[in-house]
Amino acid sequence: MVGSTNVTSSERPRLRTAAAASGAFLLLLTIALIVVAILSLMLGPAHLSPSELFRGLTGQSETAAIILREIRLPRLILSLSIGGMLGLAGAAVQGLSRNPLAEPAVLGTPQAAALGAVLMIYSGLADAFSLALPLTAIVGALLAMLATLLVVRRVGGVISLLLIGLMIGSLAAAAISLILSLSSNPYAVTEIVFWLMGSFTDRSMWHVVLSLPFIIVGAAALFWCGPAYKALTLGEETATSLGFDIWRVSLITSAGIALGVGAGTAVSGAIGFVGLLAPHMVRPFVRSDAQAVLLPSALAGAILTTAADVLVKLIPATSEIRVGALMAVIGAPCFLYLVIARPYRLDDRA
Amino acid sequence: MSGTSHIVVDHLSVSLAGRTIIDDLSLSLDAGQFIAVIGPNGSGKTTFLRALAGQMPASGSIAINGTPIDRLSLPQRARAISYLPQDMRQPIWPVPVRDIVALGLTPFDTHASDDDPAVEQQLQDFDLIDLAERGVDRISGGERMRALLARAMVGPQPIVLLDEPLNSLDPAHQLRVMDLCQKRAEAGSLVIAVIHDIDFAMRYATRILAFKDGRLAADDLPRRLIKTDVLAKIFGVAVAQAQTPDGPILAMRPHRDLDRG
Repeated sequence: MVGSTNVTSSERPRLRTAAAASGAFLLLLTIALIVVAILSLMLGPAHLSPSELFRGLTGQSETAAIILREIRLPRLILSLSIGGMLGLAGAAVQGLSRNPLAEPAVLGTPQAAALGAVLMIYSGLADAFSLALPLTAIVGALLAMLATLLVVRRVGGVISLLLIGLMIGSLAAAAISLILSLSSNPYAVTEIVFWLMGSFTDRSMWHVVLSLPFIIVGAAALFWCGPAYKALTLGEETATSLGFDIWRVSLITSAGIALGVGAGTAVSGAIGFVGLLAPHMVRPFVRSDAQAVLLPSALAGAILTTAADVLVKLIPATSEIRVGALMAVIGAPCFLYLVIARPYRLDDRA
Repeated sequence: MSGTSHIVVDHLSVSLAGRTIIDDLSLSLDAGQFIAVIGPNGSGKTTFLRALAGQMPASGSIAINGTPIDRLSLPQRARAISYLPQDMRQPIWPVPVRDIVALGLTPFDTHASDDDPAVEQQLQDFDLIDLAERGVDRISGGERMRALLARAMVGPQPIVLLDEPLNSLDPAHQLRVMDLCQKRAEAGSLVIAVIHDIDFAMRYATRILAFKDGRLAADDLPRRLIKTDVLAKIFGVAVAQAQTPDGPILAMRPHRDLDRG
């Protein structure tokens, strides 16, 4: 180090307090996660009492065990992992673009993934080859992220990032509408429309097997980029001078989001706003650099999505409300709040 | 890459959108120097610094201790050169000042702790102790500048490049920053700073690079440069001098004042 130091810091205890506060917040998130997870396992058309849940999990009650294994557990694993991935992806995209309004859905990623998936449902390939749906969704998401990044790299700027994301999202949505209007089979149309709304209903362990590996790899890629997001707080030039290859980080982030969010969208349909809300929910409670916010955002995303799924089960309706639709109803006003109240700077130029 | 370093610039040229920004520049920069880069707006100062930092495609070569800069990996460069760019002076996230300073240690330790003694030292040096826990979005422009400077100075890189480090600073802190740059150079680093305040540049720097239209109009010791009319020529102003016990003071005046006098 340059210059020797004789500082005996009086700040150390405070730092420990700050670390403890972040630790306590993580603990709180974990407890909330466990609570919504237990609720999710207990609630459903046939409610399980806590003792039934325990007997089901330990295999003492055959009926409860079947309900859990076949229905509730896959649904819970999916809502936790996909919600977690969405929260994490939101924090990552915000860190990479240095924009508090960025999230995969704002950048058109899930819409593009949905387009890929809808193509597979429409063509019938999804039934013929089970990996076709998640793989096409991932490719769709990857193409959307790459297209956005390539254009942004040419024209630069955060506003263009959002505008291009918006355009890609609209384009994908328009293509989906086109497919729907061209479809001669009303059953396929209904299937696609419901699928698009996003849901964890009637998913099996097979869906978990299809999506979870991609989500784990995608999440690992985003966590790996954490130090670069932190360095990007001070802009691309500073981050580069600190030794980070920002173009490579952008590519790895795109690939990670395409894998995780693409695979998630493939099995659950499009669920928006989780990626936007989760980072903003946790930011006041953690050291707010773009890296420190990753894990809490993932936890918050998992809690939000699972809680929304629990709410869907509780709201009395003739057919179950779609979790994606519910998230949009909650998320849109929150997005509006962020734009109007501007708790963060929305432009990054000095 | 540690200890002392020297940079050899050989026939460096940089063009942007068909316009020549740096025109066939050759010079050598040695450890222990505090070099002030001066010149009018658009004369190529920032581009020169960016090229030295390896952040600018350029023709010709820049070699650090004999190794061309483009052969060094980004992490190797980051351990050799600390660079304070002009962009991004207003971060979006409410990151505490202490964490911003600690970011400067990233090239040496990805998990650098914000209570590292070097961070404490910089917080003291740049008068940031009271602001250490405040978010960078909640402090003034000058305070932010000091935080960014502390970030740039916290690591042990042998080469320090600072683009306009005195911007937004009050006089006391400007003096302090110049003093810290001088000390850093005396300790063996090569410090290169773009400075608009000619008086500060002359008083503190050990060598002046004066740019005009992408070329070096002068490369000299301050005390020799002061005796020439180079400053008046490159800036198109009149330079007034007053002798004080601390040495000469320079002030810029419009040409008409000189005509009258």
